[in-house]
Amino acid sequence: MRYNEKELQALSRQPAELAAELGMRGPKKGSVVKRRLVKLVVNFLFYFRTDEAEPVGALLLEHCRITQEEPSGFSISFIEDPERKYHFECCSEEQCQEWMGALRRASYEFMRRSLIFYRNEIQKMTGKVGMGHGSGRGWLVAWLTLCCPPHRTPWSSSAYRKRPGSS
Amino acid sequence: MKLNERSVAHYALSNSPADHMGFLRTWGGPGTPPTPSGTGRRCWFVLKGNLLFSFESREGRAPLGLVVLEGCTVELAEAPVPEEFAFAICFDAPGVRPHLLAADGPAAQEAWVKALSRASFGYMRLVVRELESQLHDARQSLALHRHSSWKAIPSRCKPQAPDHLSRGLENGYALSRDCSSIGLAEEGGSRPAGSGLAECELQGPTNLLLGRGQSPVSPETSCFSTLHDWYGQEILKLRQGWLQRARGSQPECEEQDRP
Repeated sequence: MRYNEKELQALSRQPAELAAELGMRGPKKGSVVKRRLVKLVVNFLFYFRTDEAEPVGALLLEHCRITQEEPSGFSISFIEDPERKYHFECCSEEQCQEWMGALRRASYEFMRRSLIFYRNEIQKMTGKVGMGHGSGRGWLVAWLTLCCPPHRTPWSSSAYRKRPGSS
Repeated sequence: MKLNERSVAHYALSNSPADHMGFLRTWGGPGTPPTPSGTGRRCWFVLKGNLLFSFESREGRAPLGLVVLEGCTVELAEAPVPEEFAFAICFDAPGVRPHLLAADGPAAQEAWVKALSRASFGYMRLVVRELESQLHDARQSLALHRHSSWKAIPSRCKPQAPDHLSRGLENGYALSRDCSSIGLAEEGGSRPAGSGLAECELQGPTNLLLGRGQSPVSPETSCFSTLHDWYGQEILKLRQGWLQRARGSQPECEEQDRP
C-alpha cells in the first residue's frame, strides 16, 4: 500500500491533543522498552525518538483496543491481531488514565457513533431531524442540502475555482 | 516511517461504513513523472472517514494507496486528458505533490469534491460538537418548559440551533484544511459566545463527560442555574481561546482566501 510519508510527517507536526515522553515497547518478540515522544494528532498516534524531528512511526487508531496494563501502563492492539500489542508505560496512574481516555475518543469511528447518538437523542427530544438512517455523514449531507440555500453553499461560491475551460 | 499497515488495510476492507466510493482516474503511482500525462489509470476509490483508499478494482482485496485527508484542500483542476472531470487534493507541505484525480462526469466530480472537502477529523469533531450543543439546548428548553416559573428564555434557545449548525458546517467544508481554520473562518466575530463550540478546544462536554464515565448528554438535572454554570464555564473558556486565536492568526486567514 502506497502512501506519502511527507504527508504523514506534515500531519505529525500539527498541534497534538496529547503529547508526552512515554516508555514504548513494540509488538515484536524480544522488544525492549524505549523512551519515545508520543503524540496524538487526530486519529493517528505518532512516536518519535526523543532527539529527532521526524517520527519513527505512526499508528492509525481505527478498530483498535486500548487496555490497561500493570503497572500504570496501557497497550494498543488492533482487531485483526489482538495478540500483537504496542505497550506504553506512563509516569503515573493519572497520566495513564488521561492517555487511555484520549485514545479511546480519538477514532473517526468513535466520532461517527457520537454523531449518530446525538442525532437520535435530538430526534427523540424534538421529533425533528428525522432524516435517513445512514452511517452518519450521509445523513449530514442530506441535512446540509436542506439547511444551506444553494446560493450559500461553498460549492457555488468563489471558494472554488471554476473548471478551467468551462464557460 | 513505519505505519501499522496491516491494521490500516484491514480497516479499509472492514464492513465499517464508507462515506463515498467510485471509480476515478489517477495519475499517481510508482515512477510517474512529476507532471501527470497520458490517460492515467482507472481505480476504485473508497473514502472512509479521513482516509481515501484506492483499489485495483471494486473487488480488490488489498488497497493500492492511501491518502490521509488532513491539512489538505480539494480544488478543481485540469486533467491531461480532455473530457475528464478532474480535481486535485493539495497539501500545504514542502515537496508534496497534489494528487490529481478525475471523475467520469460533472456530478461525480462534484460529489467527490464535496465528500473529500469535509472528510477531515476536525470537521467531524465540529459537527459532533454542534449536535451536542443542540441537544443541550433542546434539553434546556424542555426543562424550562416544564418549569414554567422560569420566565427568562436563554438567548440560545432551540429554534436558533439549526442556523448555527448550518453556518458552522458551511465554514467547515469551505475550508477543509484542518480544524484550526474553522475558527478563523469566523473572523467577523459576530457569532454569539455559544457558537464558540465550533472551536477546536478539545474539552467539549462529550470529552469531559465521557472522560468521567458519565452520560455524554448533560448533567442529570433540570435546574437552570446548575446547567448554566456547568456549560457557562466551558463557553467562557472556549470564547477566550477563540478570541486569542482570532487575534493571533489573521495572516493565515488571508492565505486561505487565495484562489
